[in-house]
Amino acid sequence: MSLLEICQWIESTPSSTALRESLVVFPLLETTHVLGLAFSVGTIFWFDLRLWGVGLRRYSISEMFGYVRPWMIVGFTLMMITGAALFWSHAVQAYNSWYFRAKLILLVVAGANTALFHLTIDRHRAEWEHLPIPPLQARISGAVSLLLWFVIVAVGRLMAYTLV
Amino acid sequence: MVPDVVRHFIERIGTWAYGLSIAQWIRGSEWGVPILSVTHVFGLILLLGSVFMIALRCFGLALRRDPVSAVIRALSPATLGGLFLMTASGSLIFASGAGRYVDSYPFQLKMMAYSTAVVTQGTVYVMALRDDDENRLLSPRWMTMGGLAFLLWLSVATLGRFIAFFE
Repeated sequence: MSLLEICQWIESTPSSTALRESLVVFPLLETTHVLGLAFSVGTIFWFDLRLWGVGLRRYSISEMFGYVRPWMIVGFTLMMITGAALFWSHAVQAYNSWYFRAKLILLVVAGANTALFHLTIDRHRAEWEHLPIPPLQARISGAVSLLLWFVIVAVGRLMAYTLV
Repeated sequence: MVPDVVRHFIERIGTWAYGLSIAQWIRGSEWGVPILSVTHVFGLILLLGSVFMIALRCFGLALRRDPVSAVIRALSPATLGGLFLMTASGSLIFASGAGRYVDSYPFQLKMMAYSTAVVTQGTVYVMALRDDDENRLLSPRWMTMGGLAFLLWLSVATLGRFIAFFE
């Protein structure tokens, strides 16, 4: 089965039709997906700024991470669940949307950026985490993450104009 | 639930705004409203993200080494910047398609919630400017104000999304 055929099969399932045609569940899913931004991107924003050396410099990287981590986990889990359900309801349109394709690729890039950070410079965090301005690699990591999340949000919002 | 005076006020502003040349220009352009909507969501991240961090501090869950008032002042560029982005882009989206919004019940409720939230946020900011800056981890008045501000902005965002779905 091709990806398109899989998406066509998804849209033909009763659960997809029910979601798509629901006058209550679909709006609630979309609303939750937007409110989830406050807890996901809204919190990672402050961690990335700290990593970039731009804001909240009085707090160490570990302190900031400890503060935002529970909300980031809750927020991004909420985004993934509601996002997956929204995709399930419009799988073929999502498949055909360049915005959606770009969003998926950018999500993978954001994940890779995070993994790279944790596997490299973050391993020696103790050596630099109290510096007001972190080393260049950490600053780049924070700035790239911030930029990626704003682009991901933008393509996500623009995608809605291609779905009817 | 929406008083007549509010509905009439929105209708008057809508009639006036719809005729503005900038509103006509946005209506006629293919990318006007989508770009404004993206700006609106960017503003939401700054505003809700900072109000949420402030609420976390009010409940002693983040940035504990600073008094609440200092946290509010430190995050204020994001709070005010987000509020400005949201208000500016939202006003332009409203002006460009006023006919669609003036009769929308969720939009009318959103404007009431928005006004309440702006007054609350303004009160929070003035309280932060006048605070003695002594670091108490928890205080009832900051917990009330911080929690209230966050809930109000969440309800504004919820009602905003409802405009697309409900009459």
